[in-house]
Amino acid sequence: MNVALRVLRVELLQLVRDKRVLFSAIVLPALLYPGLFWLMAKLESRGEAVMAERELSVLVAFDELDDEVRGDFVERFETKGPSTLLQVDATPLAEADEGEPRRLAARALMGLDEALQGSDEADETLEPHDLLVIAETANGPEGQRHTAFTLWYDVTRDDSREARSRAREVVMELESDEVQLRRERLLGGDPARALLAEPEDLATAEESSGAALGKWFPFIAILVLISGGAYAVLAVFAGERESGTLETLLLQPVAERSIATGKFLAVFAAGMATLAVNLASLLICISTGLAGEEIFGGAGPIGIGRLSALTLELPACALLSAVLCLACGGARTFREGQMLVFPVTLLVVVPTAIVLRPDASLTAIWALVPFAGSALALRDGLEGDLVPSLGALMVASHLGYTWLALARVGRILDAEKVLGGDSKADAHLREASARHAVRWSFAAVMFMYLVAGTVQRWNLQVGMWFTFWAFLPAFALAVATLAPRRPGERPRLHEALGLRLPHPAHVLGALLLVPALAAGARMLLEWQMEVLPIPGGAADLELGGLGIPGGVFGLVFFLCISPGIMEELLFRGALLESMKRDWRWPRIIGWQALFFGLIHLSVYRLAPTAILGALLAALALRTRSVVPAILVHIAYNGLTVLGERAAHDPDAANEWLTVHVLQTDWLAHAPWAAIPGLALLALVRRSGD
Amino acid sequence: MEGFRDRQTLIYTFVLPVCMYPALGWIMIQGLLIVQGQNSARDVTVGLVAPAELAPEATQAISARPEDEASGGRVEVLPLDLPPDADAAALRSALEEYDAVVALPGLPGGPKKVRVLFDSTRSRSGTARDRIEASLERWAEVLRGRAAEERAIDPRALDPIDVSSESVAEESDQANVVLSLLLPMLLVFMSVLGAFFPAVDLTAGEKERRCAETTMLLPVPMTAVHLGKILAVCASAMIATTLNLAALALSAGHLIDQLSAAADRSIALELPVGALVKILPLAVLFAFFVSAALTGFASLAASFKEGQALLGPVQMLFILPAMTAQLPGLALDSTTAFIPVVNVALAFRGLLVGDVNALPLALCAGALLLLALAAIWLSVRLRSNEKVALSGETLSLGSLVGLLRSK
Amino acid sequence: MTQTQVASSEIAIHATGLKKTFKDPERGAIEAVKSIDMDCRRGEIFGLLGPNGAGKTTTLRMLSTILAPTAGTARIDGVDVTEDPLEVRRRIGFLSGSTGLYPRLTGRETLRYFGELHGLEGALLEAAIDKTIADFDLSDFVDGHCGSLSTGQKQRVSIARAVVHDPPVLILDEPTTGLDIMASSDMIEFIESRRAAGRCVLFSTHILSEAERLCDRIGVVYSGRMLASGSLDELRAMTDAEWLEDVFRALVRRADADRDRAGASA
Repeated sequence: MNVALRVLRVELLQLVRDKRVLFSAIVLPALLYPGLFWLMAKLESRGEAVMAERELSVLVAFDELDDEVRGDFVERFETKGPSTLLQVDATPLAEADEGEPRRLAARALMGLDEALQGSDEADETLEPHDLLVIAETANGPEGQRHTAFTLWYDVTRDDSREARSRAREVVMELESDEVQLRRERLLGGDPARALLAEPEDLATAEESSGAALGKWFPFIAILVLISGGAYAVLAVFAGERESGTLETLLLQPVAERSIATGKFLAVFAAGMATLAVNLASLLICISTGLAGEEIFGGAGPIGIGRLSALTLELPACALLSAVLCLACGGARTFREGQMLVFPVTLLVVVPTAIVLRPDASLTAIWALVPFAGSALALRDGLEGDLVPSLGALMVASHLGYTWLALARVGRILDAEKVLGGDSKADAHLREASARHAVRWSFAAVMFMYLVAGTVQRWNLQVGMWFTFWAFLPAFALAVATLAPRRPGERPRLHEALGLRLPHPAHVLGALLLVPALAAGARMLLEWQMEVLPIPGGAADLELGGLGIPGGVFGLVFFLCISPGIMEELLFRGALLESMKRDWRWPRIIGWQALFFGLIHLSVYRLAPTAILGALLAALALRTRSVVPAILVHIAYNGLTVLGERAAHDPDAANEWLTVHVLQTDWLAHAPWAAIPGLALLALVRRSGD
Repeated sequence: MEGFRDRQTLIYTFVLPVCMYPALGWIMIQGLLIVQGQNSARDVTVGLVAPAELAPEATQAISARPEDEASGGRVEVLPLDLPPDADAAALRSALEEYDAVVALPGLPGGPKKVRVLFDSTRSRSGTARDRIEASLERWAEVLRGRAAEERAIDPRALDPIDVSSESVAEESDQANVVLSLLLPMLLVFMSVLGAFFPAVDLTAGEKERRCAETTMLLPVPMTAVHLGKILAVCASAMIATTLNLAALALSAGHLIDQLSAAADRSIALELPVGALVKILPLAVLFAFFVSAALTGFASLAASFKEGQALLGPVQMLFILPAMTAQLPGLALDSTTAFIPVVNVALAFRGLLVGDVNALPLALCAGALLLLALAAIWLSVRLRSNEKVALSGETLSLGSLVGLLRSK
Repeated sequence: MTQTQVASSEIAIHATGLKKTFKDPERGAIEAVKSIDMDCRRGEIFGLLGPNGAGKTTTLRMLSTILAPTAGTARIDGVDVTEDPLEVRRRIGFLSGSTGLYPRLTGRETLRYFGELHGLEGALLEAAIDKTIADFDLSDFVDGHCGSLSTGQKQRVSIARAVVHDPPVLILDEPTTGLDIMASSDMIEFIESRRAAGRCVLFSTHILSEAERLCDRIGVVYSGRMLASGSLDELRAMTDAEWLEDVFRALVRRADADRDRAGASA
């Protein structure tokens, strides 16, 4: 620790002496950020003011309206802002057919098309009208008239949108008055009058100030910390390498870990200093009124006790410093470190964005998510309703991550790696094959997301064909053929795809596992519903695959056979074979799980598919063939898909397949078959093992 | 072409636009879904203060949840032992135990209004308030319907006015408008970030690697060498922008689907691929301008470290005008077409909503091109000067002006 | 090889069968150092002589605990490099031609920092710093930032930095590479001064004249092996050559011939 402090002192000394960078990295942001906020607030209010002042030209077709209502409308509309109302004859519109012809008629009335054909010189007469309001009345029941207002507007024009929102407000006001009147007249008063209540917000001024501050502070903290910390981390790590002192430093009789800790502390301190300077400048801006308080939405001062919640951001700051050290510590030059700063920024800012959702609150899961947990805890703390145990969990988890990151920083500084030549490149080359697999897995995920997903949305059936019979096999073949080989090695294609004949006992054993897998998946999903409930709309999205045409055969073909074969050939075939050359099984299974989970592109399917991916990878590793994995995948998908279908589609529930396969007693006991299945897999050995 | 072999340029030209932005978009949307899901599944407790005879009906009305909510959480209503006309202090203290408190002082039709107390800084409380408001609304409707039935009145007579909005624009314009609010800023931001590091690398990086001297010794005209390098940076920035737009077009579909699911309603938003194609030429031109301008800026930095420090201010320089262009009412005309960055942001907006004329657009493109050429001229000039190319110092503004005059 | 037995307390560096293998994905395992045995005594300058890529730097790095040997043992001042690397580091000063200085620290701060890292404290530390400054005549520029020093001044601060804790063993990796005439003569002077102080100096070089002038004993390293070691006279006797250059050539030729023979018989 003593050593770490000495390293810290010297590093800080050097940082402080680099005046030019100090100025641009710490002081300049302190001046710029408040300026930015100020300008944002000003622009917003200015924009609103501009629109409110806008002179709008509105066409009205109020022939059918009572004079009283018409006068009311005009009067109210004028209070909303300057405008000209012109009476217009709307018969062409009424005569036009519903739909497209009517829209064109409205365009013509509003003079939109003429205006477009005109020259660009602004000519008063050619300026189109902003809004067309048509009122139609009809005799409703009980002799009460019913009025329908139609507001024609042009969504592409600012003026038109403003005109519409003014008109809407007016009509709403008219309506609420009229409703009130009629309730009096017809019902003798509103029977639910007492139920019309404005909810009262009991949050104190301090609490809402805290909430507003809590929303912005994590962002400011992280952005500022990165701007200060990034330059510190570059100076402390890459700078050391560039000036050629790292070798000397590592030769000193102290542990790398203490050096790493010292350097981390320097980065942390530099970041915190930047933060302090910036906070001070923000406070000055607010107190001098340069930046309005509306930035923070603060209605009152926040007590010191509340403000102490700001310390909850400290673990995140420490973690961020450690992450920066980790990302940029291995960089040999400024240049190399530089390019990592921006991705780190993005990765950190995105989880922090969760605080912008007022309905998100700190739960055990969020507390474990780096940066999201700290941001939520901070906000809750400022609002005064932080659950202490969750706060403690957040602090513990963040400090834990920091510790892990620091441990890795220590390893980066391992002398052998630093001096063992171009060590990073060596490591890359050493695991060339596995890295090839990882790169392609990532490419597959991105391709699925960007291309295959787009095709599927455009046309589900074409998309399915494309995904399973073009994209997946093409990737599998590419991975298998392009895998890096040692010189003189010429493996055959089917070997590279993992297509070997499995032991029959293994196939049998694998198939016996399927019912247990399906049962396990169901249990997992039930548990997941508790932890990660699916919002209403998204649930439909998750079941989208059931909409495939072709009835039960379409389902079986597209959702069982195709993915079973093709996903397995790519993941447990080509990619697994490629990973197998460099890695041992725990690592392979981990990466397989990760990518297989990701390629399903939904957070709700992440856990189930990742677990399935891990199990299938283990199976393929054990049986040394992709074939059992293919069979298991097909059977497993079959059970779950048909089960889902039976559950969601009452017609399907009576089909032969459902009745005879899914709703029979044997299935309830089938998971027990996993025991002999596992035994077969474990005990039977392939010849030559 | 040295630039393309380099990992850094590769990352900023390809990886960032194609992978990073869509991936982050995905992560954000998934996070949103999780929040949404947890929220709708959350059970809340509501304290009820009501006269004994009203309590059962009120309890039932408030705790009723609409049936169509898939994993909707419950509203548990518990009676509170307080008089119906309890004062604020008593209700406030009750709020500490419940997510929200409803005080119903008398009959629904009576003169005393119901009070709903909640705490906006507690997310559970906010959820409770939303649900209570919806329940009260439904209850009121039921009561009115019943009253109308008793008097044999058609309930429709109570509804005097309908209002509907119709757009005279094409359906796809709707999406264009949404896009026109987001895209200009996004494009400016991405272009600046994408071009910044290659630009710094070209100038400060070369100084740092001490290649500047070598470059100066080559037996070809200096300007040609520099021009070639700057054009390489511009090319990479333009490719990056194209890929950016392509990735955006491809990932937006998925994101919009998920987003509308999260919002629990379907946003009928078709991504206007055509509109993106429309703005592509201008976006590419803008990327050219940005990288040219940034190369000029970067010529001023002596080292990578300083280049890094410059990033923040320079970003502001581009983003602030882009923000100004978001002001409603501002449109691309013969005047604004000459203000850099503002003109582009306005032109993007105009192109997206189809509200732009050929002349200002041409002016805007011309202005961009001219400025880009001027920036290139400036940086070539600067870098051809031995004082700048070899110095380890950042230039001050004064000496910069002096230098430019001297030739 | 004639070598007089010396008391073990006289031996400052003792290495037997040192070996280092790097893994290379394209060429498989590379034996940078195949087998090196050596002994260096106190008050002696030992030069490792060899062409680039012979394994000199790797050997020195193993001795200074930066790299862990794949096989073999080495003891510095009686401490094993694999068992207690930190203790070994306390007993050595290491300097190579490429070591830099912190541009924004003054010379004095540099000395203090590295003195502290070596565990010196308080008055002891200040005394060591003052002594080093006096020894190397740094007082004129020791309080200026290292970034603003001339190359020669930097060189002197660098040397001072390496010996501020007065190590019994000094390991120098091509110390004169890239230095101008004045700076390298400073360096040579410094090396001789260490011998006079009774320290052991081990340095690597590919400059024959330097080795000829400075070294009490020379070890010739070629493709990862120590071909021969001994005083200049011993080496001359071994090869019947007069100039060190010819000695070196003769040894290399012999080694190549041996290897070819081994290859042919295999």
